[in-house]
Amino acid sequence: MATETEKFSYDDAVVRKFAFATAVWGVVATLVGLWLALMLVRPELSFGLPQLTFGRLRPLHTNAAIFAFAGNAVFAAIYYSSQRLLKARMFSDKLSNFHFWGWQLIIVAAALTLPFGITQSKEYAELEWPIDIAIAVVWIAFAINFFGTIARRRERHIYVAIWFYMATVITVAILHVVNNLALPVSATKSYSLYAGVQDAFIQWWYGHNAVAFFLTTPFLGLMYYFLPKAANRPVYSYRLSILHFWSLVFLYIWAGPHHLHYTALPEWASTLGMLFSLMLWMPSWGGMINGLLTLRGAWNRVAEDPVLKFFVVGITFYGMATFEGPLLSIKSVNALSHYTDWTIAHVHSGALGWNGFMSFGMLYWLAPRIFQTKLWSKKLAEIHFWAGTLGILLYIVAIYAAGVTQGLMWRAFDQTGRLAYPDFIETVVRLMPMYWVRVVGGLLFVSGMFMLLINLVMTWRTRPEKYEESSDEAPALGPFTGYTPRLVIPRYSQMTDTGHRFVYFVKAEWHRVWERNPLKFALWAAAAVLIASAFEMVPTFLIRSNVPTIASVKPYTPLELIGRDIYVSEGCYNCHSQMIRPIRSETERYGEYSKPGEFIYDRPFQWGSRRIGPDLHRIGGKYPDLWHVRHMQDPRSTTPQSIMPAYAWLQTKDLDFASIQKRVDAMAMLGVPYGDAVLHGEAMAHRQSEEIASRIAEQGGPKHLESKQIVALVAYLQRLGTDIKKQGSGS
Amino acid sequence: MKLSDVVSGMHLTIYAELPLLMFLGVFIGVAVYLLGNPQNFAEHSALPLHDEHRPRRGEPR
Repeated sequence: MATETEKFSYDDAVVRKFAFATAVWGVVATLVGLWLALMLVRPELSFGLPQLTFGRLRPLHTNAAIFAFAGNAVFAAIYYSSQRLLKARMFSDKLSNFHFWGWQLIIVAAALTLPFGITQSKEYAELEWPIDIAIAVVWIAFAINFFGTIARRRERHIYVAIWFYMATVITVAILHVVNNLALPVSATKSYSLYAGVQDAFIQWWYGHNAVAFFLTTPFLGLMYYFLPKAANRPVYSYRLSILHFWSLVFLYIWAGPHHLHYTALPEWASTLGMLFSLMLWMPSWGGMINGLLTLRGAWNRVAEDPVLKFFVVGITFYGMATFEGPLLSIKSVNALSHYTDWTIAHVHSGALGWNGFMSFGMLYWLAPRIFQTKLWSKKLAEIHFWAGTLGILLYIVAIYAAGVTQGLMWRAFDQTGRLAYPDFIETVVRLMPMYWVRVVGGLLFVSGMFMLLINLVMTWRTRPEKYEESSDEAPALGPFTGYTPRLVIPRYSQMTDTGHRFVYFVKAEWHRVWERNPLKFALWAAAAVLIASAFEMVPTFLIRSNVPTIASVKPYTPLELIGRDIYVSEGCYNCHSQMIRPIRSETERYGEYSKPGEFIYDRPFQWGSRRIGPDLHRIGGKYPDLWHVRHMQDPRSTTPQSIMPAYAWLQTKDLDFASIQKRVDAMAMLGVPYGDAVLHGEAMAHRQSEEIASRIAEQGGPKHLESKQIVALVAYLQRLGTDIKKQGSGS
Repeated sequence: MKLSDVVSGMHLTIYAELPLLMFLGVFIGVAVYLLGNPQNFAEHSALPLHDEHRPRRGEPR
């Protein structure tokens, strides 16, 4: 083994960039969130502008919070801690810079496309295909840089934080590629390769695991590195951290279907998702306890150190969110909570409490080190902590109350057996006071974000004229010789090779080999993810009885198809579901429950995940065409207390008839039996739009709408959920 | 015979039972490993604490 000591330096410049980006995008993400919260109590704040509607801005908020704020925080953590734990400078400074600037450009691209209605409408995967490709390229560059650094390390043992980072790098790549497979129609539009139930399944396999592998595992890596540093204590139990790692990697990937309980997803997949979610309770709490016990002997410092305060509250929120997640996955709880604001409160306790506070703790700990000066104001960091804590508490308590209120009101029956609140708007109005409390909570949290940004900028301003380079020294690693059982278990040196191999296997010594061999380790982590994914995906796609076909369900007409694309583009799924669960209160309110076979032409699926407004799956034929025109023009004209924004521009903006044929052709390529429409899509759309426009005029509405977007949207809405009513619906 | 025939013909409970058995196997394997090598684990748990030799300017000592 080589023993010669080598001197090397760390690249902290890239950490400084990611740290600043975290704070800047954190302000943007939370400001957009605050604006959205305000729009729910004052819908006129969209000012009649398409780019400012709730449906278009909400994906901007979620993407900014996840990928811009949390993403940059994760990268700052990885670049700082990996170099030190591996005793090596990053593999390539050029790749580090490419990663940083590439990621920021992607965020800017998201900010420029989402408000303009360019979206795939898959939650947390809304970005269209050119940006998806850019994400893949930047992620590959990051992966090469990260694994290259591991390959050049000078520390034999790979610390558990790096394991969590490795799982993140591998799994996010798999999730991103599989969920975003789509057929492009143009530079700004694509159709998912999956349809209906399968699309929903893939999306929530992705959505749940984006939370797991983008918002949990890298933050656990962050915790396992920065908490011991801040507390100046070793991790309480390294054993527990190993158990924590493997349990999470193995269990998380199965849990996605719990987002689809009581939907058209097959029962077995839903139950499997619930079961694995419940099993997640133990490792998650093991990890939380490991984090909190790492502070043993240092609790006296928590009172005076804002960094430790942020970490303690962050880890506590991790415990709360990971307790609540499995709870919400229990079917009977989910029947109440799903589509309500309860989920929103859960998500924010995780995002603001766990991801937010862990990021803040890390940034305040990093600031003096990466800027090589004292933190500008410890007092301001303390105020940030209290403003943030109070803000989160106000936010989540109000929204938990709102969620439970919604759930109970939706399912309430009166003494005669009829819905106690048949009009959906009654439940909306009841939530207004809680929505105002959320605005106050959000305001406090956003003010904390500004304090962080100011503190970082002011600290940076007092930096030395020239940064002293962070350097270290360590002997280079010799070739790894620990593969053979005899070398791994020297104390059994008298045994035969077979005996060695037996002991090697039974005593699980192979794990110690993996810990030193990143390639094997990465392969086994990837195998855990892929096997679990295959176990759910293969039967979901291949068992024919999962999606019984319904003879009367036909493809959308060309006009309905482009109307559906407008629905997608406006982000209607952010407030309206298209999934009536087989629960009496839902069938009473909305009509016959949704069947898997009704969605076979839905690319992408539009089931949604919350109901700020009512479900729309059986809206077709419920109102006359003119009602929809008036409702979109001014929702308050048909429902006086509605909080839906006005979509007046749909009556003035021209429909892009020229693009219809390409859309139809793309759908036909994906296997939709379009028949004559493949040759005459545009002409068919013109004919149908003229029919609808003349009906609207006959009903006393505006004339000459045949070339406007509203006609296509009306065509789609009037078709929704109607196929199943047309005949005996033989399978 | 297609793959879909095979998958459709299998009893549904297998999709829940097999993963549970697999998890149990992984859990036992890792747990057995964790019962040994106490010295190693103690060393590894302190890795973040000795990753830098000297504090730099501005860094709390």
